[in-house]
Amino acid sequence: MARYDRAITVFSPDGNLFQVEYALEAVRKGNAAVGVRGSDTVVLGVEKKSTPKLQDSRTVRKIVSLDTHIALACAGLKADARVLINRARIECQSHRLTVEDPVTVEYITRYIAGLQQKYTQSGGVRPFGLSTLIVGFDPYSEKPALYQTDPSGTFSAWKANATGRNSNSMREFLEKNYKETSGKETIKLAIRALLEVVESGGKNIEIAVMTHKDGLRQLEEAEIDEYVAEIEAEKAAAEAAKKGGGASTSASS
Amino acid sequence: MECVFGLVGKGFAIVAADTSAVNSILVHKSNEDKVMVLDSHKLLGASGEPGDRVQFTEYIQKNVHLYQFRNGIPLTTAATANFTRGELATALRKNPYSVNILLAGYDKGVGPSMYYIDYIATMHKIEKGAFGYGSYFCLSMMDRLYHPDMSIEEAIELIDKCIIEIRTRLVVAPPNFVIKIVDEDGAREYAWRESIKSPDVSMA
Repeated sequence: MARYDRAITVFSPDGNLFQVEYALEAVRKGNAAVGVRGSDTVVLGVEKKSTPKLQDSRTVRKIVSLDTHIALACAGLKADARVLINRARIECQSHRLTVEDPVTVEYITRYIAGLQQKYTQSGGVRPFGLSTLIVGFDPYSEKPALYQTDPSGTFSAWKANATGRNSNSMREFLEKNYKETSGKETIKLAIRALLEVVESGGKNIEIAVMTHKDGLRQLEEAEIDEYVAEIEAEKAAAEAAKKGGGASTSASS
Repeated sequence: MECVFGLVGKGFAIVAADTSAVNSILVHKSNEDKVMVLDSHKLLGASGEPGDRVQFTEYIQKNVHLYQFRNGIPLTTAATANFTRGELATALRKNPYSVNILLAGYDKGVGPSMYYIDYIATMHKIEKGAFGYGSYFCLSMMDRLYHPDMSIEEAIELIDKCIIEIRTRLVVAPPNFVIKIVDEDGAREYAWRESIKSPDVSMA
């Protein structure tokens, strides 16, 4: 087994590229990230691990914009992310320069995934250790989109997805609770998914919302706290309703 | 004969340009916008070889945008001017761009500023400037009538006087002009001065 994981360019007998698998492990160790697509809003959320006291947290941007209508969040090796994000930003402007049109979300996702794939098929390099969640609105059609890429270079579109730590739990939650939402409801769904695996509170979550009209907006900590409070209240109300329903049936019997 | 000219007033800068696209004796169109809005607070008025003009100014614009995405803040006007001059200088002794540029911008804390950058990468920071045959008339007008801290009304009056001078005294004078302004509220179109209206516009 160990003989087939040294170089990226070597398949194992059972058809695995071990370096890619190991890169996916790196992703699984990265911070949790979630993306939700609504009818008129797309939301990206990232777990914020506790900030060291002396660090200037403003310099750690986990959700970045690639263009005025595209944003990206990722899980995994942040240094690798810098490289990919830089290349993607250049491609966004290059596309605008050559064809006088902004990129579609699918185009830039395909580009990023293509880059990630290139590094699984070259000698002397290793794959990028990150998965990305890319959101945006297509120019002209104004349709919202959410895509995910991974270290192997595959990509696909999603209604909602999660990556990074505990992504399986978040994805399960989203599968159970997803419905077509818009505006605030989309934001709440994203926050609820993150709260499944992250300690409660605005300090530990970073949320960015994109609409076609207003572009990307990072939510303030106070705003996130408000949403969290709303969600906790709804949860408590739901619990109370369940308990209340149970009590009434036992009383009547 | 292409003209681009502009001046800096109190808290704003204006760039005006003719709007004719000409090939030898044929006028392709009379509503070609030669003053590009580089970003929220910058204007780039350019004249020269049409292909070079579009190619070079769009290249500068996309690089200015790229800087903003990479760094989260926009380039200053001075930095943009120096970048532009650098690109012209690098290309000069290989395949030069034949483009003359007036770059105007507004920076918070600094105020309005204007840069003269010609096709052989000369750069000057100026309060008033002009390119083309029209410059013979505009520069004289501005030397006579310009003073620092002009109001918008005064500045537009001066721009209009320059346009009238070009129209009356230049043998193949461009009929139409576009005037754009940049101040703390951003870069935007101010007005068109048309003496020949494009026929297709009224047809539609």
